[in-house]
Amino acid sequence: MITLEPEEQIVKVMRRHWWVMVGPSFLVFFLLLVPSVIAVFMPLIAPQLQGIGNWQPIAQFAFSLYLLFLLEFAFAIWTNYYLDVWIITTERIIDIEQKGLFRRVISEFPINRVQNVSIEVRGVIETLLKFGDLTVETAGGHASFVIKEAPDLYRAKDLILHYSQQEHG
Amino acid sequence: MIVTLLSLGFLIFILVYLFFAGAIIYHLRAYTLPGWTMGKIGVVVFILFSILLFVFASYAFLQMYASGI
Repeated sequence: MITLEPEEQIVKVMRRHWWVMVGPSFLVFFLLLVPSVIAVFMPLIAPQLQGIGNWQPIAQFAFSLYLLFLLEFAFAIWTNYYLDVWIITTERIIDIEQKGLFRRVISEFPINRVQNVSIEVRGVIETLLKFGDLTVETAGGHASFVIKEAPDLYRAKDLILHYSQQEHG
Repeated sequence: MIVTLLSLGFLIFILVYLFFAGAIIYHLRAYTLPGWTMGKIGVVVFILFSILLFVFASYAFLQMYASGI
């Protein structure tokens, strides 16, 4: 995936904080409950269905297909989260962003171009769980580089500044 | 007729499922670094659950056929 230079070493790999997966997890859990709710309330809403043939195999088949769809949906969400990474090496910062299943953006810049590193923590949850955005500004008028919803911000900031200063000599 | 349609629908579902599952697994194998173990664990768990659910779906499908749908 990425090729390191002979002297280059990976010092930190960052992913978004686990909290960002809570919303999608609740969605999947809710979708998992929907068939159960339907099974419980359908006899009350449409009691005439009870007398129609043997519908249980059809319901089981539909339910199994639904679970397969949900499994793949959940796995795709998790993969999208897992493959969004920021890799800090001794020589560069690499941003790998998985946008959907068939789109991937990889950006990188040399760590010696770092001019400024700032941290922003917004909100109650972010403050309590200690995650936020890390912005890295580079020299030469290039756009700033933002690591969003990342944990362990202060350690990352210290590493980036340490290695950028090391490169400057 | 209904059985034919359901069989065709099931087959199409399997093909679409395998296509997307293959794409996800390919991404996890191609874009993870050697030390990232969660990707490998995720793939194994996904495949195991997929097989389990496909067996259940196939059993339910055969039950439909046997019950005269």
